[in-house]
Amino acid sequence: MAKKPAILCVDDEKVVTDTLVSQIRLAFGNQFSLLQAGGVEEAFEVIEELKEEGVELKLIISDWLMPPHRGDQFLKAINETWPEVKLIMLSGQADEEAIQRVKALSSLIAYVRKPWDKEEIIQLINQHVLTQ
Amino acid sequence: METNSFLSPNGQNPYVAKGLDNQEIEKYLLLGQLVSGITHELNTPIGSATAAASNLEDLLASIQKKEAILLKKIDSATYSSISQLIDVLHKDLSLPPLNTRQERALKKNYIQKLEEKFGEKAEEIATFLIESGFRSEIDKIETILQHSLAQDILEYISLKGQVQKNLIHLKTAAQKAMHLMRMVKLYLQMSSEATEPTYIDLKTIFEILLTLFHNRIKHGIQLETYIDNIAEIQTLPAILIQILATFLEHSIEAMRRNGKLKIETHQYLNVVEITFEDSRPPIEEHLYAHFLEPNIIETLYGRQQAEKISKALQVLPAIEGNLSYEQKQNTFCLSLTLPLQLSN
Repeated sequence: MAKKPAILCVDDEKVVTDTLVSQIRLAFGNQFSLLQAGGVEEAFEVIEELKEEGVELKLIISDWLMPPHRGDQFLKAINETWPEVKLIMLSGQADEEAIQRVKALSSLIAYVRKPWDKEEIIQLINQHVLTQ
Repeated sequence: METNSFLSPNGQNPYVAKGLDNQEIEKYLLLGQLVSGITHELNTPIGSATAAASNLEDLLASIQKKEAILLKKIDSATYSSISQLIDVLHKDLSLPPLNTRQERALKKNYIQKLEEKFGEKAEEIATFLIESGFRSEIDKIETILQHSLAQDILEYISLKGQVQKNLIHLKTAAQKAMHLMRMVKLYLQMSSEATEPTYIDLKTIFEILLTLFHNRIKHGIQLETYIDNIAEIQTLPAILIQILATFLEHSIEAMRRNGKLKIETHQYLNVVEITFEDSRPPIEEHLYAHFLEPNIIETLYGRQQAEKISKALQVLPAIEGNLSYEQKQNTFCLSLTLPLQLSN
């Protein structure tokens, strides 16, 4: 049986990733494998594991600020290495420069401000992930 | 190195227009910056509270549907097993939450244990358990996993667990928002009311400052604090908090908001020493010799820093404080010494 495609939520605040997982699960049931990472390093570990297991990573929803790293640098690295993975940057405080840098990434599908509207996330997944 | 000579002989300082009269203005300027930081800080608890409340609505609706289906199909023994499992879940959720790494490790562990009996279903079962907040031994749910309605029961339990998790998120968000508000209130009280010599606890002052500056610190500062258990000191809190806020902000700005900052407090007989040791770029020797002079601060860190440090130094005598500085191999250290008790 083919493994379910994955969505990875990255934020140093667990409440954020827990909430995203809960919202996506309620909206899409068991269509995706939903994973969480508490920072950039852990996110790379999860991505490596997914690749080893042959799971297709469809989407990363990442915070902008995750000390000591910045989410826009993380998303840029993902965009360069795995351009097929769609990206959403989530932040309450990204500066305009960072937003512009991220907007230039080809795989970015949206920059969403915190506090986010769950309908926006659901719509983005419907539009950019499910239809692919 | 030590200096108190920042004032010109005629007592005029181009960086301080009206000296102490400017304290009120300065206080509100600082407050403005802090409010901006706090607004960002509040984003997370407000966002989580809103999301949790909205999730609860959806979860409760899903639970009702699932309950209606299950109640028609299960016998009393199964009902009792489900109740027991929900009790286990509630106990698990009352423990300190696992981080994402710990959750992934636990999920792998469950998958390994479940694979033999449940094959490809193992991952799905493990996901239900982890997302519900379950973290006990898998044998506690053996009976339920063998049930013909296992999938529905697990989904139901997962929804129940998520309700509790969202309630915890709501509570945590409210507590975080309350803490931030309490710190702002304490800051305002100390800045506006306590202008008479008062006994205060340095730990409380630092708790306020580090909370209010949290947003700026987390942008790239690795902070270490060693705040000793120091006897309460008698001081003018309104002035002390302004001075400490100025030095804290100065360290952050001098490192261009990126580096290491160590804050320490120590008590020596009847004085207290507070040090801010940061990893700012090294200062050239000819500038270092006159470091606290406003024009040197301006050359190194800009006019705004020069004004702020000048104002802090001008009011320092009011709390009988003494400032010294030292450039070490890779760090720069500002040390403020204060008496335990004011002499007047």
